[in-house]
Amino acid sequence: MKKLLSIILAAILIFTMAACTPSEEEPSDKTAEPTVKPVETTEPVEEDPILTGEKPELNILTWYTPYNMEEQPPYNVVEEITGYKINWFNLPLENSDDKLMLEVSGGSSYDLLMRINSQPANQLQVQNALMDIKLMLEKYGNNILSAVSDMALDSVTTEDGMIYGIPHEAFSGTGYGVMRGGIGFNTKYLDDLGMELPTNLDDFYTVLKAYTNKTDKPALTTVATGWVSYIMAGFGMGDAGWYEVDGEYLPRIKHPAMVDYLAFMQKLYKENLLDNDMPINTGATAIEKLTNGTVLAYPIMFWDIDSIYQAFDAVGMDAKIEVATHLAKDAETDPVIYVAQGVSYLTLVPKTAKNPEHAVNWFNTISDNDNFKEIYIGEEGVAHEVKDGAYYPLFPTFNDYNHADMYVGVNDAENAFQMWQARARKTDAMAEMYEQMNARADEYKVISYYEPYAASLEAVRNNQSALNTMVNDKLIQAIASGEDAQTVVDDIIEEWENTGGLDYETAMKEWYAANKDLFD
Amino acid sequence: MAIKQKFTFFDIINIFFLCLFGVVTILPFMHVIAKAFSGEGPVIAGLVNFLPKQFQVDTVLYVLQRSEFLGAFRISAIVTVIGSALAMFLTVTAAYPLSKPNLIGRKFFLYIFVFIMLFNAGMVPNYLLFNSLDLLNTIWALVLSGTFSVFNMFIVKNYFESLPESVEESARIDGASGIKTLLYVVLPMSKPVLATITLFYGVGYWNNYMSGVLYITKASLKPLQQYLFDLTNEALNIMDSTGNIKNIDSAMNLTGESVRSATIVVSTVPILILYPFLQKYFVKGITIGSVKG
Repeated sequence: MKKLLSIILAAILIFTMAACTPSEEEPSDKTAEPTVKPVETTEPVEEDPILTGEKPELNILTWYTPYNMEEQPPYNVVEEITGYKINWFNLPLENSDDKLMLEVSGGSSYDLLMRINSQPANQLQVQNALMDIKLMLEKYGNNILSAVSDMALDSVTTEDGMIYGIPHEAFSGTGYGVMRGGIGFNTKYLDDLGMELPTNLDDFYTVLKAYTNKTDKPALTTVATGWVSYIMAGFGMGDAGWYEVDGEYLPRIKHPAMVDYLAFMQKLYKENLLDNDMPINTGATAIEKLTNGTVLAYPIMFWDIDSIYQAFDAVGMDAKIEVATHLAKDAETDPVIYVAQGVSYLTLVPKTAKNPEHAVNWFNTISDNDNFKEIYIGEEGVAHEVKDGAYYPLFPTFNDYNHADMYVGVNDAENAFQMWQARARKTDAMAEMYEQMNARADEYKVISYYEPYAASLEAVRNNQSALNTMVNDKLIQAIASGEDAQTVVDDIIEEWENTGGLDYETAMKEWYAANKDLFD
Repeated sequence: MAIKQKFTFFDIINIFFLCLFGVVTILPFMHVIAKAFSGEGPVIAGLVNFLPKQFQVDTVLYVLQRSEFLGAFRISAIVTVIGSALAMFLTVTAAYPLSKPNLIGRKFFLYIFVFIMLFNAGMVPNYLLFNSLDLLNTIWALVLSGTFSVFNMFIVKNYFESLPESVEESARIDGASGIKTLLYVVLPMSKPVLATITLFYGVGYWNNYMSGVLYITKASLKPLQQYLFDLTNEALNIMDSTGNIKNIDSAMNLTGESVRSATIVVSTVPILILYPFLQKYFVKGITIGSVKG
């Protein structure tokens, strides 16, 4: 019997030892020689082992993806282009920042931390967990340096000159294509009312009022939110959190038009033009009300359109959607749209990286203009085509590139934006909706805002999210309660100032003063 | 003379509330099942309640072909089987000696077990331990993180203590060793508690979400519950604190509601199948295990 016990214990020990051996990555089935595109270096005089020597496998930790990155078609494209085999690791969806800190402080040997949010990236820098990549960029990062703007580079450069990350800049565009959403109107109901699609606040109110008077149903529904940027546009605001008003840089809650905006929303709510369930609406319940024919209008993004039409078919609604993009103040005023420019994510090299130079070299290769395009939207004539300077998808190959955004490096923001538009034309309905939204883009005054570049400031990191949530909650409450708008805004400002808003404001004002000249 | 069964008012109330609770429990599940078998259009329009509209099985078939789902399902199944077996082995081998009053140092060991039941190191030290053992991103991180529950061990120990000592004595008189007595006498008499605890461990492993979040960054090792959480909360990732969309490409690729529902339905099937088979042991195991004598 003792023998039996020994056998069992030995078996457990063997199991445990086997468990202690980290799983080995399966070798790729790619046997073909990688077709490395030549990377221009600044000093190609001596043979550099990083550029010409053996290429190690790289471990890269990145943001959450709902798919296995190693099973997506762009995975092989990247490997063919760069010659590097990449082992991808993903942060979880929930508590990803905490998990990132744990991974880095635990000493896990990732060569790159790719597409990390500005706030945790900055925290890692403060904790001295990141390498200075300045010299590596000079040596291996010519594509990266030419793609990244000076302002973006400044935002990742510390006072003592250390560059702690590669900034991925948002590509939002500045002209045609900036409109991605608006208030979607049911065309059948508009026709029944005999009214046109509104373009300004006055017409908007008139159309909503007419529908509610006729049907006794709310005309507009939204998810639970205090900020409806398409309506805010009529008050000179939008998605931006900060505005320069009379030479002063102000948070949105202190914008002079804030009281008027709130009063307008309260009026819509009180007169039942705005769905009285708004404070408890989710995306699913709100879109239900549009598609089952309860309401006339609901804010949509252009990529929602296919599901909306599917739902219209299901309920037998013979209608289309037309979209009122950011509303103008009145018929005489030009409409305004605020478009975010700035750093969306950072790619970092942790101090525990085993192959930091190779990692930068790899990232530089995928940031090459041609390589970026090939990874992002595939080969021209096979996965996409160019018509009149605009990119269009070619199916079915383009489907392989659905998730390609996670594999690309950095590229000139305007170039990347043009390529991205191929995605906006993925289905006929989407393409049509995107075109319709942007049909009046010329009439708009497009104002770029740059506050995302300030996301890594300590006072912003510590306060921004909590303050935004507080203001949003209070606004929802105020829209429903109908309390005097001026009093509500004053109360919110008081709470804002008492809960970190002043620090946040000081930091933002200093940052704005220092960087204002760099803005277009 | 047969005793006449009387329906009291209490019985009626009892049945009413039990039915009500039953319905309250089953309706949300029926709703998810209905959505899984409905077309995407009726789901978006909110037409689906408890019966499918535009009935179709394509969504379920699509889920069953998704490599991410199948991979996560496989990982959870492997972890559940290996983990439960290992956990049962450790639990029984710890509970049996501790059920013997004449074990030397019994009080000391019991004290240690109670101590670790009440106090544990927490997530970060556990992470560092797994890291230093090179267990991160291995299936063993998922298995070993839930291998032993002191609470379950006490249930089994109490059950062992409740077995008549004379049966074991007779085995010993016939010359059986301690291990033989455990294998051939004690365990066959303990089927209810073993089934119950196996179910506890099995469900625990199957439903384990945190271990995946803590120890796994490799997509191919993601357990099912993490996959499910991610799928149902994808939208978390795309909005910033003001509700602006910060990741347009992700926003454009969100999974449809009926695919999500189908995934949830398919992933609950194994536990649904397991429960009825173990249920007959379940109640008995819990009640007997908790009472000594």
